[in-house]
Amino acid sequence: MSRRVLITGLGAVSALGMTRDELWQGLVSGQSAIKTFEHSLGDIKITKGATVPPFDPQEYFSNDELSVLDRYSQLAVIAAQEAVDDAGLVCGEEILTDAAAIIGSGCGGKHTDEATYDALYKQQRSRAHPLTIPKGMPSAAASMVSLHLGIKGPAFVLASACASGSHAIIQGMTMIQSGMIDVALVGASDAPFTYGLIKSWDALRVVSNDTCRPFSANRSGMVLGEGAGMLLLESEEHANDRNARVYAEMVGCGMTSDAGHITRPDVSGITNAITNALHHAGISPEQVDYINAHGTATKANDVVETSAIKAVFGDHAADIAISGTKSMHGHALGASSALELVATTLALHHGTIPPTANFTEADEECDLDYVPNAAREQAISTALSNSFAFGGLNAVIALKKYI
Amino acid sequence: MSLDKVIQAVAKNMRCDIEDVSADSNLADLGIDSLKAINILFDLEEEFDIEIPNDIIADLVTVRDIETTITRLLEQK
Repeated sequence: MSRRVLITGLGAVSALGMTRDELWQGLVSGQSAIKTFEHSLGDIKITKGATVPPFDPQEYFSNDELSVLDRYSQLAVIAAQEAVDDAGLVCGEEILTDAAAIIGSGCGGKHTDEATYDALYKQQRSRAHPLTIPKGMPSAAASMVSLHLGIKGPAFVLASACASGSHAIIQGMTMIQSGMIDVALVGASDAPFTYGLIKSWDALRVVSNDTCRPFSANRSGMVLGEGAGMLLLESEEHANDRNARVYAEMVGCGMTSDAGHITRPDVSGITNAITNALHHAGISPEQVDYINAHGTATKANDVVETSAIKAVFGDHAADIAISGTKSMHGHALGASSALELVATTLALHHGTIPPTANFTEADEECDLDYVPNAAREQAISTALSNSFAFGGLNAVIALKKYI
Repeated sequence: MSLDKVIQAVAKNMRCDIEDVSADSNLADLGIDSLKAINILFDLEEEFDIEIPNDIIADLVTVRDIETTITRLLEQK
């Protein structure tokens, strides 16, 4: 018998602010954090991004700690600490000692790696900085979250590009369902604004210099973001034993892979992921009120995602509120799916659906209810969060109000 | 000359005052673990443009040992 899994803590660092509350306030006000870069990035054609507002790392960490914290690890630890505080837990308590820390990341410690490569390749320096490996390794965020929070259970980073957060969260959920652990700190972090990475995204020609307009006919591509989203998951018994405040229940997940094209999304892979999530959660399609879409605002994604939703839900698709919140927090790669699950959880909790910002023109091929530009007060009992990664890696998470 | 630079590198990496570090200071007593040590040696390699071989690191016990090693490496350049 699988155990029920509850969400009892949330943390978020995003372009909308350093906290969960700032993320939520930004989302419900329909505020897009996408901005033109203040500083020129040289020969890079990309001009806009959703960067985390300037912050002083020394307000969060000592100099000693910072010496081994890549930017993506900093964001991960700040959001993880917020989620733990939000759940009313304290570092050093046995509850956390036994917990898991499973963090997703699309690109890992790129700031560190690139600084060393720049020194070696461009500046022709003869030495690499000695902390390059521990600071830049893709697993650094899990180590740092574990170290800062005193988590001594299973801890690792997993990668599935833009679905990394969802896969990490699902991993924590299934470990709790199975009885392996009682508590899991799950989520994702990414800090992709480095010269080499932005230059590489530039080359892929999928990034918009307008803004991110999911499902809008005049959409012209994604806009990169950065940040970290973290959730504290607990078994129902564990949460109730300590009278924890419960945001929502994580009831199911669906994961598929397209085995198709490296970048082009596939309707059947996405359709099957959504169907599997409903099946795993034991809910019927008609129960779903809200979907936080993958909604990248590329021409291909939004049409394919709309088609998949119609294929799964039939006539009910028109009754589902769907929003693309990347229009506001940007596409923070692996961290996006975690930020979006934080948003989906808060939508359920508050009975407010965040909008799709920057929506200005209806598209014949995207003809569902995308909650354009203004949040909607609406009680939700069941919601899905969609995440589809390059390489055809799909993950869908189903949440329900906990009753 | 190089002793001052070694003391500066130690103080910088250990975030302590220069006055707290002397030639006779024991590296372990200063709290210098292996990760701190490689950071200090990295700074000194950069400062003096030398390569400190891995196999002598275990023999470095005091600040003066580092200074002596650097002086020897500079003479060999």
